[in-house]
Amino acid sequence: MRDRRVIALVVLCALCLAASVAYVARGGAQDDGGRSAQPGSAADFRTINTKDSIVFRNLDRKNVARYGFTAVARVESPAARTIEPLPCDRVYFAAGRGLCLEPAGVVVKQRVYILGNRLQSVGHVTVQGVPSRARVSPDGRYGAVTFFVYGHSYATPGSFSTQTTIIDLAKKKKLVNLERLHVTKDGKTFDSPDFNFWGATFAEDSDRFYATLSSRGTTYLVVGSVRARTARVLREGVECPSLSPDGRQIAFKKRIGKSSRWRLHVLDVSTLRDHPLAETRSVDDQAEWLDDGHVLYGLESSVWVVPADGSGAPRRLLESADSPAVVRSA
Amino acid sequence: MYQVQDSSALVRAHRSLLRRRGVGGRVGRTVLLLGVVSLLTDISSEMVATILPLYLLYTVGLSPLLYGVVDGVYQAGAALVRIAGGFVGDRWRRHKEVAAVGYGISAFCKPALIAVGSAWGALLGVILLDRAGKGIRTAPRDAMISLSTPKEQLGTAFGVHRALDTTGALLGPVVAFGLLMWTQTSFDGVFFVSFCFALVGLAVLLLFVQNPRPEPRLAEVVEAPQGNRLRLLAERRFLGLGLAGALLGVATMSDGFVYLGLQQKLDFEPGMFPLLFVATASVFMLLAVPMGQLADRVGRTKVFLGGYCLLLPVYGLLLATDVGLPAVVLATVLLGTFYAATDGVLAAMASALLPEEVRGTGLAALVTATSTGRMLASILFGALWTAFGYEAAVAAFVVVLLSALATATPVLVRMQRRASNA
Repeated sequence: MRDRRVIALVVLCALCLAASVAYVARGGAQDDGGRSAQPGSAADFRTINTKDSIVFRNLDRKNVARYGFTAVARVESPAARTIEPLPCDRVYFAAGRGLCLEPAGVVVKQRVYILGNRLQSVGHVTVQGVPSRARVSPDGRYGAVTFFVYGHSYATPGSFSTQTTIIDLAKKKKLVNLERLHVTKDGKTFDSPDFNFWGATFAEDSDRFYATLSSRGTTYLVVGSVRARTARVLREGVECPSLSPDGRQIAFKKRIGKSSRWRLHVLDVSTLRDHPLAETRSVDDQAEWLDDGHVLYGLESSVWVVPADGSGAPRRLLESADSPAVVRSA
Repeated sequence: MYQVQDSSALVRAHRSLLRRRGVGGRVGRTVLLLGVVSLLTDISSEMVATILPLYLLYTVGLSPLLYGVVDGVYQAGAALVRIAGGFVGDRWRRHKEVAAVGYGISAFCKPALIAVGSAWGALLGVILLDRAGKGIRTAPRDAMISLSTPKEQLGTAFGVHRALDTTGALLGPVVAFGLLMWTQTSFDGVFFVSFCFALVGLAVLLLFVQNPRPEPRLAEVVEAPQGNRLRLLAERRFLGLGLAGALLGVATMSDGFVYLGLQQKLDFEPGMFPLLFVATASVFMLLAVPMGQLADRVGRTKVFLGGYCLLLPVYGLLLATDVGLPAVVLATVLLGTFYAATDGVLAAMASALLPEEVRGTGLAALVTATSTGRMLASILFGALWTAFGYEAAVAAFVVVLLSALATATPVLVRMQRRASNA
């Protein structure tokens, strides 16, 4: 009786082993829809330098195999998209250089792919955590990426930790973790072990940048210098700043009370005064500028556009998309 | 006088003889088999748990936050399922069958994951069902361990089980990671292999584990009406243990918060985070059996309370201004030892107190009490951190831990004294 049970177990183990090997091998032989393909594009990508385009993440569920892949559309005809074999959790592109945050996975270290003119990978740096934000300076010199080191959402203050790193895109090297900057507030040194930085944005000269700093439940807008490794607190209550192309305005998300809801606002860089935009739904995104008068953002798996002066109403620009980056023709 | 000394020496000699026979000889077949079942099942479930966030993000487009919300909502439901599993097992003395239902549900959720593909509603349903399976099996499994072990070896038995269980939890991610790294398979391959592990685990349970036989002298009580059955649970010593467990749970900072504090102090690479979890689990795995044996020898209450005392130096390290890499290692070892000294030992303490006919229900209620305490601790720590900063929150937890120990110690010591008098 006992022997028979042992035989039954041995047979089951053998069957399971055989089935596992067969299943795993079959998976290897199958076409996985480019999912395992290394980043790199065969498509002719010169169009994005001649016409205003949007680089974004394709979220079309009809073709699951290409869900989360990078796509490109012209601003004038956004309905037609080209999907690239480049899966990213977040993507950004400016001045012929791009960043693609590798989807969070089983691997502890995440790659940040540095993209060339044709959205092909030209190198990578590694960071740790869950990918969140990516930005490239207007001249393509620097990039900034934000990762969640602990936790995975901005919704509950105190229960997450982020790190923002500036990358030298030409040298393909990490340049500085924003936590290493010397920060001042009202002219005095400001330092706390609970500092978190997220959502950086670069000015035209690519040395000056803006970012969110959080400490003890308060978020601050800081302006910093990459070269000098310094940052200065400008004001409170600003998350995920995004500088307009003319450098005069910053679009950002503002927390509503202590909730985990945010309203998009725009502030004037010279006066630091802000006004809300017409989008009343909660937006948890680092906004992007279509032009100096319009702001783009991802919400409910679509990319929306809303006037920057607070007038009008949001309009859906791209279906099944997020992480928009506007590439302006030279 | 002579006589008494003689007999106690005999008992001691007998005990040391038992000890020398090693782990295999000391714990029952059922305990070892259940440990193997848990090992296989944990490989299976941790394989899936490792890749699930990625899978949801990648294939389904569900944000990790939404998954977190769903998971959080489910926690309350899990307690109900767990207690129901314990109760049904007790009521019909069918611990094995109830556990098999739980293991079976979880096993067959794995092919279901492949089948539902990216239909996210169905996918969430399968994930919740998988968790329900886990909830159902826990209490009857622990009840079987305790019912097939003599009272004086309960600590060792639970230690052996927890060591095997943790081994599985450590191997699961390695298997999943290995499959994705070294073969061309994608997620469904991981789900399939996970299913195979679960299936073999279920087979070991069904083929080899037997329902523990009730002790004959309790045959009368088995037929007692349900009112009495529940009243057995309301026994004062058990309530005291539940209260102590919950209180100490509230005073326990979650691992994540501890590691985060160390990370901020030392500024080590955040990539070490998973490594810290692995290191803590390894220490737990290695020390689970020795701690269980120690508890059986010197008293479970002592080891259990001692385990919680180990948290004090951990909190101290988080408050110290100047710490180095040795502090991280020390904190990891202390945390692992804490788990080894408390997790299985608490189950052993409860098993020694609970009458057989409510063993499963009682163990389930106890797990619910401690995990509710831990959940409260996380919420409390997060709130304190946000309001007053990290170090103030740790300092507050030192106070909470000291008061919890001050409250729990007399309760548990009195409980133990009465137990040994009885």
